Amino acid sequence: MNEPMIPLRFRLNGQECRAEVDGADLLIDFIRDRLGLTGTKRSCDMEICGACTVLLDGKAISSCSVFAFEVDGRDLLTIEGLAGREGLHPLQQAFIDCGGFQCGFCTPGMILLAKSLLDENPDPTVEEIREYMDANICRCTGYQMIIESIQQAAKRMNRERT
Amino acid sequence: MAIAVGQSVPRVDATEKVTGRALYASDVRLPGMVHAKILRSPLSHARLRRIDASKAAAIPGVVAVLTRDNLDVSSPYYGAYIKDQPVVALEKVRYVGDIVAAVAATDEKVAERAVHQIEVDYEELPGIFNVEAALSESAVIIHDENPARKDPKYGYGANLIRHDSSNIFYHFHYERGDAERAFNESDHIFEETYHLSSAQHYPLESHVSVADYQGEQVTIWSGSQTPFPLRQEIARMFGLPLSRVRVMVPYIGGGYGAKSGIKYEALAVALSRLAKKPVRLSLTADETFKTLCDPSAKVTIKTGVQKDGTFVARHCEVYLNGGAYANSGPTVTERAGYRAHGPYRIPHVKTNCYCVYTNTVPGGAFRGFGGPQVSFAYESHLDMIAHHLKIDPVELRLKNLLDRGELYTAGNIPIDCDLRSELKLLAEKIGWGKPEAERNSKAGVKRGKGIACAVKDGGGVNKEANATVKILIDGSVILFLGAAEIGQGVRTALMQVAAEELSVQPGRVQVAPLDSAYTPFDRGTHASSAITVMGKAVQAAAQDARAKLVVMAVEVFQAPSAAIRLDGGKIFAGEHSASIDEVMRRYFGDLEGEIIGNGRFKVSRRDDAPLGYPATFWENGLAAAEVEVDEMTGMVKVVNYVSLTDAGKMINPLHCRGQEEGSVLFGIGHALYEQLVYRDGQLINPNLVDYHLPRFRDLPRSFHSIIVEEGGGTGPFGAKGIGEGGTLAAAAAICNAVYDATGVRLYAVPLTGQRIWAACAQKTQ
Amino acid sequence: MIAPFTLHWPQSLREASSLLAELRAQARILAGGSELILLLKMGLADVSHIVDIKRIPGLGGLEYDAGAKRLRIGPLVTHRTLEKSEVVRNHFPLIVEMEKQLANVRIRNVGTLAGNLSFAEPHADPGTLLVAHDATVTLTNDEGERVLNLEDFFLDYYETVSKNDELLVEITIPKPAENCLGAYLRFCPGERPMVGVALLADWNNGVCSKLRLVLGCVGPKPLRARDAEGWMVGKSPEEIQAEADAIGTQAARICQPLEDIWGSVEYKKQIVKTLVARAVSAVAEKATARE
Repeated sequence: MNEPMIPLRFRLNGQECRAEVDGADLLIDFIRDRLGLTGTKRSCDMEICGACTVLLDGKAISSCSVFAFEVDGRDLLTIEGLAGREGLHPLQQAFIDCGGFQCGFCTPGMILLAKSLLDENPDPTVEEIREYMDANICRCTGYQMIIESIQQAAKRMNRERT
Repeated sequence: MAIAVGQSVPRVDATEKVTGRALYASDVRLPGMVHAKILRSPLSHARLRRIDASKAAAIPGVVAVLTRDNLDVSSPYYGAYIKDQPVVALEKVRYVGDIVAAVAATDEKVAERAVHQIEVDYEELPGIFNVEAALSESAVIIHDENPARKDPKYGYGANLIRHDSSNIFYHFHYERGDAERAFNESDHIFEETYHLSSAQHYPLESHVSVADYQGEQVTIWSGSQTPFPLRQEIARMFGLPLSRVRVMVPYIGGGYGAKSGIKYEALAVALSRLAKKPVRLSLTADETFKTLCDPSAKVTIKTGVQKDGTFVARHCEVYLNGGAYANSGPTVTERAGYRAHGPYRIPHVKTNCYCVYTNTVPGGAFRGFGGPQVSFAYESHLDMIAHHLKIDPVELRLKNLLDRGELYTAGNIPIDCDLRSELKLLAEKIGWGKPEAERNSKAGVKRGKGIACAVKDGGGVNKEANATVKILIDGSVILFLGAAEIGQGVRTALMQVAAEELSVQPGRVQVAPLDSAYTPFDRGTHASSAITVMGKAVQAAAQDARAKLVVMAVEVFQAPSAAIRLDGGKIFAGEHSASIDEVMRRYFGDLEGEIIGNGRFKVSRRDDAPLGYPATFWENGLAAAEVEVDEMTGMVKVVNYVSLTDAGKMINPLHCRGQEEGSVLFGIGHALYEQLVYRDGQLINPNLVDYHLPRFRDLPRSFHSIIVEEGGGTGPFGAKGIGEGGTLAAAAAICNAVYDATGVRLYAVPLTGQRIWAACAQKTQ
Repeated sequence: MIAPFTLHWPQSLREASSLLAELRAQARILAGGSELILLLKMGLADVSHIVDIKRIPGLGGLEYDAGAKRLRIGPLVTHRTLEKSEVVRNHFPLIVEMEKQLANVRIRNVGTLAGNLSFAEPHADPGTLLVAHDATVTLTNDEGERVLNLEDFFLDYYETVSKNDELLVEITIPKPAENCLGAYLRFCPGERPMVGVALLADWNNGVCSKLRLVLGCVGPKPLRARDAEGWMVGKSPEEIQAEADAIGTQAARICQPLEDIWGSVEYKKQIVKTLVARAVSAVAEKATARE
């Protein structure tokens, strides 16, 4: 069956991007194989672990379970787009400073999920961090140091805002 | 003042990992690369009558199909100790998920389709799913092909007992004193049986191997914890010299033992050789579950005690369900057996530890390595003894725990930490013995505290590590080490060690990628060994490089070597000083040159050591847990958890904390949630919907990790390995807390809601 | 590995209905896609056509009709939208509570309530609570429109009465009475709820005047415990409180959970009994306090 390719026009990490995909292409494969951005990781493949988390219009989604064509007309942020020209995003720096990762495989998804949390709730309590971040799994850190990383980032980002 | 050691310097892989640029085996892409899929057995035990891959091979896009008919290797079997696992099934399949054949194709979709076109005729055999069935009179022998095996030579008190024509593939026996006589002379004898389920490591990155066989050499990218033994296996199996097998290990997305030892690499190599293209073999999560597991265990423990609580004798019978292939089962068995009697003063000990073949997922290396199985038993058992004798469980431990300097067994290094003061510290932190403000916080919910203390002999056995330190002409340094980065931060910590020895800032030392073509030999990243075993090698290599630098400085400064001092990247000779690069340039003249320092470390064999080698250090894991038990639902909530381990000397405190806390969650996972569930040999929960991994919601409401530095480690600057301690104490600490809360003793983990509710309900009856 | 399919983007409801009428069993509707993609990956669905309804205008509405006192939810409304909606929080606080606990935030960002109900996953939260709210669903096709009680919409495990050319275009939830007190309790040791209990009770003149007690995840579809409901109507909160355990026991008797990896039938019934008793007790206690 040779269905016509679906044209896409979207913003990728802040830049205009055009591409063509098959209907059945999954977003994660489009990102990793077609765009060559391998920071987004595949693990459980069923929306449980969150290693594949990317932000679509600022919302955390599981790229393993979304069709690639869904990005048309929208804003996609992968981990590669987080650091700015001035350097690492405060979340990235905080994860480094506070030991928020070890093997690093859950990290891109975890950091993006944390970004979506802080974008919506810039000063979350520990309880709010736990509840929100519960979406993603880490097998290495034991979670406590991820929470501290997010608290550190929130503090820095709020300081910069004032 | 240390320049690098003892400081939480940022990880060397920090920026790469937070920006998504870090390369893992699953990210490796080569030109012309094709993709592999595996045909797995749907049956738990069957003879392979016929296999026909012709339809599969004819599918457009398929470049190679591998079956036993075209597996052309010098030796088709691999295995860390017993070579019982074939690259693809030869005469039999031995568990649901066993590898039957494999296809390489232009993309995964085509490969998947082709796999389903391979025709196989099986002759089903009776399936054996548990140890009892495997040991029964009429049990079919799962491995009747007499696999090659390499049996170790044990020392004092230990021996290996062979069982021919049996499903027991490893039997470790340890004995000292006369346990039978001692039981007769004990005031009390307690005997109980404990069960620990099998568990899945679930590294977030599944197993991925990329192999490129070209001409008469092969390059492999794999997230392997043991690249050099892997190289050895591949060379042997494919009849290649070691020099023509190159193993590259990128960052690894989680190991925990799952990636220790050869896994799928031989399959990828065989496919690449057939296809004449690079082959990528990447597992799905489902397949990860069907690759390896932590063997389930049944531990019967019997202790003879005097009425004042002094331990006299202990007899342990441990049965491990080793699954369909041996893997690291033999070493797990020997360790579980060796560790079974616990860190207590017990003059008379007898232990048998058996590993048994069954038609289930192979058991092998898993964080804790047989330790969690037996420590769950001995620390739960100790609490029951305490309660029967009406002695406080902490007091009973204090009475019997080995002191620093005492021997765990003859023929081994003495205990290198102060377990008693560590236990006291832990008890204080959890508020042990303080009257409960409120035992029952709300209707049907009960609170309790439990404590546990365990050790494992750390550092592995027969481990050889080498390292190289190069000082380049501009004074920058490259460190070559074969320790794999599975997340534990070893490459950072050992970079710090090298920097410290050279008296340079940590930022000056670059850690080279792990590539067997350049990286010197190392036995493997496991057993919490890298900081000690590889650490000593790195330290020696840095000292060797430093010594060579001093020789140059002697000539450059025309000063005696005793006058030479290194500090902060500079070299001092009396009042004169120069930077390292200045000295090197002056030494080499107009020519460029470099200094190469080499280091090696290996713990020597000791014929009297029970396992043939003494431990490198003692790794300890202590825990105190406070739980809330909802008796109506059986749910356990850990409200307070304090863990303790001794790192000897923390090279990087932040990363030590990360490893300790991660290992605690591993332990909590096994204690409360994790189990592989089978129905008629079929694993019914090979996915994260039905296998519960600890999540943020499962983090104890209050969790403190304590890492003491008692300085007794054999590693650089007194360091000891950590990272497994948390898995040793969790199950018992939580079960002891549940007992304290409800008066109900659970003898099996995980403590599912159903188990606890049923036990509580039975008690009220 | 997802097999190729033909993708359709109807621009109107009419177009969507014609497509569905033509394609029937060959087509699946795509809104959020969570469940559909999972099915496709597992190879459990033979799908040659996918009808993506996200380009049809007007399907994303979430509005509270103050006159008719009811919430109207379009088929494209996500769980996350409901969770964060002030209007839902003001009038249907239990629904916000339930949505907060559903799956994880990634799934809530993409998954729709309509999709969730249509999939009829037995281990789900929304159906249980919405049946307790007397929710209705509106189905439309070429022939017209029909409105059903949500309770009657569910047929069996993973099955609704929806015909393969029908589209669920609205979920309507009447606002509970001012004096209504309720609870939604769930038991979720893994990823999907093992038991869900929804209780909504109206009180008038010191007694319960209306009651909905719905047991979720313990049968092919959400189950109303009608006998228990009937018994509690007319009773005072104190009387109800005293019988909380017995009500729980009775509820456990009528449900039909299946044994699975998370528990035996006996254990699941124990959970039903416990959650029902706790829900009843909590609501009765609140009602007593209010008097």
